[in-house]
Order: sequence, then C-alpha cells, then structure tokens
Amino acid sequence: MSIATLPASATTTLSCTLKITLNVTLKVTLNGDVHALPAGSTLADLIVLVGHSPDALATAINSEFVPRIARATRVLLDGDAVFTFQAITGG
Amino acid sequence: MTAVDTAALNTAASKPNALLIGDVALTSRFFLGTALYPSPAVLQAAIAASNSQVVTVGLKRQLAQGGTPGDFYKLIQASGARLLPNTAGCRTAREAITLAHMARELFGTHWIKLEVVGDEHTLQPDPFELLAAAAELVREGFEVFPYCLDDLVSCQRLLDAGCRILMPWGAPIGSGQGLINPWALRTLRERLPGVTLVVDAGIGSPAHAVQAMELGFDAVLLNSAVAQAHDPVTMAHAFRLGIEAGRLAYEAGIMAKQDMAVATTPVTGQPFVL
Repeated sequence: MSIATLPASATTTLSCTLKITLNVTLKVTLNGDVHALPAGSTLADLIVLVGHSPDALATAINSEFVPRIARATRVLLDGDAVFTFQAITGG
Repeated sequence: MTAVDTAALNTAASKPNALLIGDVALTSRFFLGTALYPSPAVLQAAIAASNSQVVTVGLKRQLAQGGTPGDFYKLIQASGARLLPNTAGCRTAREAITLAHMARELFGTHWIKLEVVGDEHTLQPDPFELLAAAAELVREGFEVFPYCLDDLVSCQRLLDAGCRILMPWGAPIGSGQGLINPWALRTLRERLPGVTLVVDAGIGSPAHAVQAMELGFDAVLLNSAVAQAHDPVTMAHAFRLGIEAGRLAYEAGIMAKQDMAVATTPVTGQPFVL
C-alpha cells in the first residue's frame, strides 16, 4: 500500500532510515603545505600521515603549543595552521 | 720557611670554585654554543676540548618538505653536557613562551635561554618583551637564563620577576667585538653581587673571555668565536684555559691600579745617597 492510497482518516506511523554518506574533508596546513584529511582527524593522525617521528618534534596549532600527550585528542578543524619544530644546533 | 704544597696547587687549589645554578653544581664556567661548526665531528671534539658542561641548542620550524633531524642531538647527548635550549628568532613574549614550552618537551629540561630580539640589525634584546616572557616562564617553573641588555635597571626588573641568572650581552651576537661596555658590566657585578652573571654574545677571542671573568662574571657563553675559528677544537681549548685563568685571577684578587709607579724592589732610597 502506498502512501497515496491511505485513506484520509487513517492514523499511521511511518518510519524509515535515511542513510547519507558524505565524504567530508577538512583542509589544514602543515608547515605551510595544504593537507586534506577526513573530518575528525586528530593532530596525531596528521603527524603519522606525513611520516614524522612523533617523539622527535614539538607541535603547535595556530601558534599555540600542543603537548605530545594531547595530540591524539586534539581534533583538527578546517583552516588550522599546524607547525612542527625539531631540535637543531644553536648558540 | 713555609713549605708549599705544589701538589695541592696543581689540583684542588688551581681549580676555580664550582658554579651553582639552582641545585646544579658546575665545575666548568664555559657555556658553549653548538651552531656553525664545520661538521658534527668537529662539534663533538670542540665540546670535549672546551670541558663545557652546558651547551646551547635550538628549535627550528620544519620545512614543508619534511626533513629529518640530524644526528647532532644524540651526539650532544653523548657529550654528557647539560642542554640549554634557546628561543632564538622570537620577536614577542608570546612567541618565546610557546617556544619555551616546546623546548621543555623536546629536550626534557626546564632550563631555557630566553631570547626576545627587538632589533634586526643589532639583534639587541627587547627588554620589555623579555621581561614579560621571563615573568610568565618563571611562574611556570622554568629556570630562565635571559639574554639581556647590560642595563642595570632592566636587569633588576628581571630579578624582580624571579630570574636567578642574568646573561647580559658583551656585544651584538656573532660580532666578535668583545666587551663594548665594560663599565656597564662592572656596574652590574658591583650592584648585583649575589646574582649569577654570564656574559653572553659578542666574545671574539679568549682575551675577551678573560676580561669578563676578571670582572667577576660567573661564566661566559659563546659560540661563533669557537665554531668559526680556523681550528675550532684548539680554540675551544684556548677559551677553556682563558676562562679558568680569568676566574682564578678574580678569586685570587687582582691588585688595584695605581696612577704612578710603585717600586717593587725594597731598597732604601738611592743606593749611594744617604
């Protein structure tokens, strides 16, 4: 029976499941380079994706330090500017 | 006749007193920078020749193309020297604080050589941004080594903010000019007798380091004068000897200058004149 054939007086509950798949991506920059990532990606995901050794660098997002321990919970947002720093010689 | 214990003179008595930074006792008063050496091997040998127990390191933003850190870090760690990370390149307190946080995580130390530069040509420290950054970092538990001006009042403000060490410049970084304002440095030493003072930057030759140590400075920090010498390893050794000599001279007490001659041979007037 289609909806169109329901009598006007009928009391009916209709339910359905609507499944929508969206390929949502976000764009962030890493040291100036643009990277597209799935929504929900974390800073730790990005570090792994680009192949950096997580323990050999320090990280900042939008000029704010993100400690190593917080990388896995820091979800990236569209437009975030990520910077990584490494140890060098210095005076 | 009093017997002189030459063995003692050659051992304990000939060593300058230890320098205490917090709860860390240092027997070397030579802080060495690690940049600009011709090779990692030369750097390693220079650290050994210097006998330095504190070496400075830095942080650099990685290039977009990536790149891996060199093996210098392991090499420096192998030297056994303590690391003193810097905040080179920072122009604001906020930048310096962020970099200090990164350095603490990356190098595993709460020591920070705080650099906040205010002028591109002289790389002169910005006393206002430096003070703001120092106050915040001291509150957070850092041992702050501020690279600062030789100005007494701004140094006093850094002490008020909780700094226990001051590192006034001798001259602009990398210039090799030596101590361009000895009066200001001498004034700092006289007015701040209990403060650990380190001359940082501008040292060009061991003579400059000797001069700083004879003024009563507690240590000297330098980089270019060793790294850019024709033979950095030998120069590191030369600075080591100079710094030790200058400190020993200061501890021994340098005679006061006289305007006129003072005869050294204890004759009585002229030999043949009554």
